[in-house]
Amino acid sequence: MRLHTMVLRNLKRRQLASILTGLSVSLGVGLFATVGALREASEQGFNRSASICDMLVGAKGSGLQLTLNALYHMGQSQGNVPYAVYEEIAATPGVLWSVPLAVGDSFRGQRIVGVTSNLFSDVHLGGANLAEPLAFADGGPFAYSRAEFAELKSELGQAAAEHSSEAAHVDHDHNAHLKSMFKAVVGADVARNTGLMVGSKFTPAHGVEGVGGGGHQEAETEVVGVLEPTGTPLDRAILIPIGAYYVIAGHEATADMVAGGTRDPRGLSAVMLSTKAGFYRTRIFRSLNDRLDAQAVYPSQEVRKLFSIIGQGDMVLRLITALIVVVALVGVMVAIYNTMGARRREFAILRALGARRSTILGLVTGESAVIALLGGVVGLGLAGVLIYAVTDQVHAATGVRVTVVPGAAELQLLAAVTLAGAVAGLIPALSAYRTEAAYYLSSNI
Amino acid sequence: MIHLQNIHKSYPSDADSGLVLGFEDWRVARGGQVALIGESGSGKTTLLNLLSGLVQPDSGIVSIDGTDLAQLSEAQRDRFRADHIGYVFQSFHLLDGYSVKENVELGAVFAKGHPQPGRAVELLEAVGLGHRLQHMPRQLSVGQQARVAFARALMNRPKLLLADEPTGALDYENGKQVLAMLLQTARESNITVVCATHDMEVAAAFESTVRVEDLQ
Ligand SMILES: Nc1ncnc2c1ncn2[C@@H]1O[C@H](COP(=O)(O)OP(=O)(O)OP(=O)(O)O)[C@@H](O)[C@H]1O
Ligand SMILES: [Mg+2]
Repeated sequence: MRLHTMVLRNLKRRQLASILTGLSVSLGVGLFATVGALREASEQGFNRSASICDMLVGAKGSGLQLTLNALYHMGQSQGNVPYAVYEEIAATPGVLWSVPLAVGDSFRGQRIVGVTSNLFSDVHLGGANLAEPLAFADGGPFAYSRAEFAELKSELGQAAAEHSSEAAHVDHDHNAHLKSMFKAVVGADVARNTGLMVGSKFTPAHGVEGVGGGGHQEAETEVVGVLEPTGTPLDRAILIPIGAYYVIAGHEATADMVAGGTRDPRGLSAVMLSTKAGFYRTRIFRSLNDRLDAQAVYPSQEVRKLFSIIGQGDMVLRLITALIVVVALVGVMVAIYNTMGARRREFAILRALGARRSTILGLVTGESAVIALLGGVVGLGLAGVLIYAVTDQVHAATGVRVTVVPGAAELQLLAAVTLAGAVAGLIPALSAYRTEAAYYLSSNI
Repeated sequence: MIHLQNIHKSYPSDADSGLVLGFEDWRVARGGQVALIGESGSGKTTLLNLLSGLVQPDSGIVSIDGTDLAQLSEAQRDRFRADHIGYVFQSFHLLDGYSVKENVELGAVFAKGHPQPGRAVELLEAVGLGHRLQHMPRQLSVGQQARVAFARALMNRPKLLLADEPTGALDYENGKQVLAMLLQTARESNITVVCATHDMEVAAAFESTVRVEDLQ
């Protein structure tokens, strides 16, 4: 018989207490591991989304707000960046591709984003190494090139100049060709949440987050494509040709809006771009930030900043779950400590048979360590089940498949919990260690 | 085998002088069989604990087979006890959580040369309990418990067998049988035996009898 056999035997003799205290450890470890894994997934997911483009250009203001609004479809736009900036970017050497963005409309809570159609071929997910092009679950992209957008912009510019303070209203009936712009590609979530599919028609509403005004009745839009899930905010977006934004009623310029300023409705919400790596990227970034009418940000850096802020709240959550583990281990300690009185005679007998004090110490710490270890293993299993249960939702939200397979982090956690269990066992173990064998041998209890 | 010199042992909590044992010289030869008698409270159990190293004298030398226990660290004394000493208690002190066979195995778990497969079964068969290996101690009669305790004490092939009123809890017949078994096994294996007892009839079965009070 070996020491570990004796440890397991003692735990089995107090089965109920062992199981209950072990389960409380499981609960703590399970929550701790789940919180950690989900946080990891959300950070990875945000980073994956940030990899849609290298740089974002928008109105001066908060870089984080620009990133969240333009890339993650959250919050409000800070204002517009002049169209000319986009033209210049597109012509800058070192820029691989650029896509202008217009935001502000929505359909049943899903944000509508105006883009040029090179987005469908240029955007790759998962960063440079893992580049996955956008794939369509059904239908295909609409066609709306930069050239078409440029043409429309110049037409609208003339119209605005002619009509002056009278709204630059494009007459839809006389511009039938414009109707071809009312096409949309919807993200996977949008398709699921709204039931939109290829061939569906919908009417965009002005404003986002339900606070907007009425619908753009004249702008009935047809869905031509549905994207595969990407695990990025693209899943939550309705993409339309950016030109459509400029011909929908309500987006026209009015006299009090200073042309070229950030309130200029003919400007763009933002521009996404990718550049050659290294020197070009830095130079483009600097020259854009030297402008008075625009700023450039690296989305990946903004996301990192965001997570350093979230990190503190996340820390609190981790601390709370860690505290649950600690409380559970205190429970283990108390349960074992309560048995000490009844076990003095047993320790004394073992001493008489030649066991050292340190062996008795090891026996008791072994018990709490084994409870912690088994509790930890069950807890990781629990976390695995929890994560498995939400893995599809997490994948849909972040594009990241959370692993249920234990990795190095889980093994470290297990080792730490086992060690903490042994430490918790030290208090009863020291009391066992001090047992005076001769004293308990002569009593007949 | 056993050589005690200038032993002083007192318990600080004792009201009067506190001295329990105090004597100059006591020897037991290898293979000797000694019955230790004396009034209740005279110090028989204390003397056995000194021999096993579980209790340390205030002063003096406790030499077992040439090893002075006082020169050893506590851990070394534990190891010495595990390797060389067998102990039988009045209430047998079997461990409740372990089967009969496991209880006997525990007699050598902390000793050098462990494990010794088969020895526990052999010993239990020798004491007539070969059919009770998987029983729990509480499922045994008191006489059977005594045999298990005896088998456990022999598990580590001890040089010295200490017994503290091993027959005290047994009826006359069982007491006689267990005692006879103990003495015969000790003789065959040249084990030195020191056995504390109240019972003069038990004492009479030993080669020699020592009254603790006479040692002083
Ligand atoms: N741990 C202890 N603390 C204090 N005093 C003790 C302790 N153990 C024994 N004594 C005292 O030492 C004396 C001898 O006790 P011991 O148990 O050796 O006697 P004994 O001869 O074995 O008696 P009995 O025949 O009743 O078993 C007693 O007076 C007892 O009260
Ligand atoms: Mg006694």
